[in-house]
Amino acid sequence: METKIREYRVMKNLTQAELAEAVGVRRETVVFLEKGKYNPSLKLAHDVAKVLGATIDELFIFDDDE
Amino acid sequence: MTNEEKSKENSEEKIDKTGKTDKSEKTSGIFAPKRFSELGANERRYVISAALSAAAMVIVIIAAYVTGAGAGFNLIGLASVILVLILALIAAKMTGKKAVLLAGSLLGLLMIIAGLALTVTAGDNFQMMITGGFIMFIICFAGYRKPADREIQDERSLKIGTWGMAYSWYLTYLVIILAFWLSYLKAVTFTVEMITGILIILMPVSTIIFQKYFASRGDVY
Repeated sequence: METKIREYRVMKNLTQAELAEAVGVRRETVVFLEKGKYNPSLKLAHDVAKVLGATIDELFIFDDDE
Repeated sequence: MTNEEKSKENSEEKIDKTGKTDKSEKTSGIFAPKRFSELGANERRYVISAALSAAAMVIVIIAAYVTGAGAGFNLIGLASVILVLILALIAAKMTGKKAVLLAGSLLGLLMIIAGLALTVTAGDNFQMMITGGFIMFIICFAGYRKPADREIQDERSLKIGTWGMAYSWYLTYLVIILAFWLSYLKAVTFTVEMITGILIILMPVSTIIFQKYFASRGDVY
């Protein structure tokens, strides 16, 4: 899984800590979300998308061959 | 929705739906009964720890009677003292106060050193003191070293915590099975103190190791 969370976060001028606080998670969770190493729940994905002003599809890119 | 907005909405919903103030607000105070769902995260942990400790005591007492181990009132008294000490340790950890946790860590370290020294000099086995000191040190030092944002329990930390404990439980179960068969086939002679001491150390240490491993990977799968 790839994510574009970092790009959208930078566009919104948010730090990882600020994004984490906005969605109510730890900063390390945001770190692993950006790396694509953590599979978030639908609610968390929705919260992150809402804060970053994007859709879940825009933020999370799944490789269909996986 | 952030956590602040959620709690605000919840409190507003209560007033909107009922049209009157919550009864618990009228009777609020130290001794006012609260529902489990109304308790904070730390308060819930106290309640769960106390309930599980009581359950553990009941299980041990029943097991002692069923197996004919000669249980008496001293068993209940001693078990109660041990559980009160465990709950005091849990309460100290949950205060989150650095001074309390540092004192607990140092006390645990002293117990380990004293236990080892007494074993060498007195010739007796002070395994209980060493094991108890080890547990106290691990729990208090881990709490002392926790960074500030670790107070937040999010879905990832809960997931990793749960899976870490599940793997630890599985590993412990395999160790118990192995120890049983080795003892049954007389390949090794384990005493009860040895087995329980191993398990007391194995479970929290393996939990921490599994949780750290999953945390470094990012997810559990």
